[in-house]
Amino acid sequence: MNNITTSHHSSAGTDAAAAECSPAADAAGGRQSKARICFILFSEFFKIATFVVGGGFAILLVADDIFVHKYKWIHDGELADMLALIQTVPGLTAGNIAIYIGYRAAGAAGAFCALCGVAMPSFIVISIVAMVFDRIPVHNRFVSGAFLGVRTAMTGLTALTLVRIWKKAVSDPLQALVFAAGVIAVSVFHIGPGWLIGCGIIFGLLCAVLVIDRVEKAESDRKDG
Amino acid sequence: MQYVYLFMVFAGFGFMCLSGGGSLTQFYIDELVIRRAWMTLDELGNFMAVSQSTPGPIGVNLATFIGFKELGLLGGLCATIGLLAPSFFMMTIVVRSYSKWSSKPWLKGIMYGIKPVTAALVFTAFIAFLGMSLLSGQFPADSLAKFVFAGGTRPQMPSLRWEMVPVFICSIILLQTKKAGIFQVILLSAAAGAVLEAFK
Repeated sequence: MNNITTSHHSSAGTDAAAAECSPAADAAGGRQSKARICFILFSEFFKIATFVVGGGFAILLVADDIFVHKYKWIHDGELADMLALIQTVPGLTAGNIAIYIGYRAAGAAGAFCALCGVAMPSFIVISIVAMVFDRIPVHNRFVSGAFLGVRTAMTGLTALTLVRIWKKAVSDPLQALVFAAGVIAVSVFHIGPGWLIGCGIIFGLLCAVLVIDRVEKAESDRKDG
Repeated sequence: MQYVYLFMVFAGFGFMCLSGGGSLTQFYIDELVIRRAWMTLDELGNFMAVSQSTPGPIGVNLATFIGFKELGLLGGLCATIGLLAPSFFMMTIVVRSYSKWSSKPWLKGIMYGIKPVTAALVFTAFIAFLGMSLLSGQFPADSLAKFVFAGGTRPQMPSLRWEMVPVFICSIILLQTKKAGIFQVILLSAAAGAVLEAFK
């Protein structure tokens, strides 16, 4: 990730960035009405959610291509810089990407339309799938064998997710300790995950007060990696 | 009233969903399987596989699926809106003030504390998933700890399903090397599971 661009963006501020690259000041010069922008946001995100299988990051790459090059509503590299923000704010990665782009293009209404576009295909497809799902003879031994195979693939995917986030999540010994404590708290003492997140936030705030150097180092290492 | 309840439960998930949908699995296990007993762990695993292999963001798919199974079409709608509503409000607020906050030490501190906790949640979800795929039952971490530190009866250990180990390893290799997408991997492992059942 480009650190220079990051600092530029944070210093320039989102408002300034919005002014120089908003749909109203399109390179083509044509002014687009807000309703039209909202419709484009809805339909583009509807298409993205329908055809891009593979979760948040795949959607990020496709959305970046469409809204940077085709519509020029956001800057090149802007989404990459905002990735940390998109992942920090609670919510699904795909939903947060839609909200971010929608908001940059047309404010809260744009964010709403983009979010509806992202959620709509899932809602339609899954409603149909869920209706059919009950008819599947789950107790047939071959069907249950197939589902066992599918759940094994899910286990593999979860393991892979852990490996992928590991380097960014646990980059110093103190964090490794927190990781171990979290695992024990959930699996041995049955602490609810919400409480664990709360403890993580409190721990992080304490670290910001007590060992800020360590925090700064871990966070800057992450940006380089 | 049930619909409001479903909405609230999923709004809670949406609020707690930090660093992407992956960390939600442990929330689903804790809330939907253990606390509310709306579904079994096996069912949750099956739903997740369906959500992974259908178009659209996985989190939205799963929310719609669970909501639909509980309360029909309107239930699916309530769960989906519930999941997305918190991020809509928080994201629009944060985008406005992000440039002011990005270098604040407290924000860095929160990130620093949350990330290992999220990794821990993914790890416990992985352990729970092991119990419904590679192992014949859940790994008894709680009763094992009790046995080691406080005495008592030795808990029954789940046995390993040897025949699923190659499926597990192959799915990881295929996904990691990007030789196959998640949809193909799910189809392949379903076929492998059915074929292995025939040789039992």
